[in-house]
Amino acid sequence: MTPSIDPQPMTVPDLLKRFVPTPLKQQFRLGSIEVAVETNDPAIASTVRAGEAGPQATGPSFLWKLVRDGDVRDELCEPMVIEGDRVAALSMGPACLIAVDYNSRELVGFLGVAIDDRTFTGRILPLLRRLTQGRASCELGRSAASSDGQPNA
Amino acid sequence: MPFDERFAIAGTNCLVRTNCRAVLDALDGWRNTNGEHPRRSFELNVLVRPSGAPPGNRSPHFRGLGQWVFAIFGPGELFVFDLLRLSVAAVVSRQTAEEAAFWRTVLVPLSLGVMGTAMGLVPLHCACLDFRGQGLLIAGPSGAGKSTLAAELARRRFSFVSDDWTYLEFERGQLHAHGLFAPVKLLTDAPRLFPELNSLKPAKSLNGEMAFEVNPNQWFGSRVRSKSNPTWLVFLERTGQGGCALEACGSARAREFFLSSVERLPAEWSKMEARRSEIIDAVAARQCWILRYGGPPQVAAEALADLCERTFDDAVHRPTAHDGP
Repeated sequence: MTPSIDPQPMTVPDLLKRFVPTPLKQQFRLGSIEVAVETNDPAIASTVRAGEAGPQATGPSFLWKLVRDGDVRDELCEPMVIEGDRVAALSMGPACLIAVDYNSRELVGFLGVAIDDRTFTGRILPLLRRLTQGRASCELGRSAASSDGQPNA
Repeated sequence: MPFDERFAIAGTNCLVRTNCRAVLDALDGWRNTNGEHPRRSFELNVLVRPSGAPPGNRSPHFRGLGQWVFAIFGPGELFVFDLLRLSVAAVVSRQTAEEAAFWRTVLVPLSLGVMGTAMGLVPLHCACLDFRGQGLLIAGPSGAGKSTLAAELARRRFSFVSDDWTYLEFERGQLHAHGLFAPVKLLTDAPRLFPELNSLKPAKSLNGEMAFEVNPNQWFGSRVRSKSNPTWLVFLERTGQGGCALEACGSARAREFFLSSVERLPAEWSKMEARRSEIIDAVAARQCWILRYGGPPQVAAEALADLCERTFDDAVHRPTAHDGP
């Protein structure tokens, strides 16, 4: 017997993790850009702050929304970048999914639990900086591709 | 990208750009041969990598935040959906590019599932059959038997539109229900009900379930249509007893059912949510029934065929309160 059509007292599960709260807020300067960080992970919040003092920000601000994804235990894979018109996305497998919209000046990302503090500082943070400054694909070289199909080697 | 082509998919105009012709050929069934120019449109940009690992066994991974949805089906592959720009960017292996079934049964439904609401094309979890040009939507909780009943109706005088997901939109003020020429998915006990499937073997479907995925035209002799005009809405409820009973259902109850099962949207997408609610209101304003049955699907199919026959004239000529903007 199946349940009746009347709605059950439950909410639709958040399978995409779209609604994970990111209550921790931090700010730092990246060159002339003021970056506001929102995250659910204290380690990310403290890492982006450390050693990030810089000159007075003069450019428009940028928002990073970074979700630590507790369900993803995969290791990082080879990076892959897709670039489009005023957007870019970067994947290193399920452990690292990032997208940037340069019009709205927002970067969002999911980071798996296998990315420890050292990996975040040494590999991910530099990528986030380069994406924010719009120069990820040239840094990543051969693994990058633009969405109009031309490898960005 | 050296290749590009427009396709008419479920009331949308999909521009595909790629460096591999196999991707375009996989979408052959949606080639825009009748010159339709739907006003809703989205882009699919697919870069095929000449080398790289094939996807292996697919265990999809999905995440979404703000305007973005990510999908990964295998190593070295990525799909990124941008709900703001209504575009999909993808990098895939050559093996995936050449796997026509992946594009038809996974990527196209996924693209409309993820971006449909942003285009005013609402994906609802229901089957759709067509009876003399009028649509019968069959909804109900998981396990209620929507696909089985859709298959049984397809064996009769109903045309098949969809058995799982149906895409609803207003076009020129009229509600339309679209399907994707997807196969009917039946569970492993299907040959007991449909002996014509005895020669088939079930296979693992995308969600890992073993199932028969069959073309309703080939196996049930049903005409397959890409769309219909929803006229009847029936909710299925399986009971422990045999028999079959139809009961009228109020539109408020129908509306609640759909609203409780659609994807949650972020607060910043409130306009999109309002548009979705309008379409759900219009669906709920159809002639609406609850069908409770506990016997074989033939009994329920007979009851629905009788309902459609009996109420056809009334349903077709009856003005509907919620036809669209």
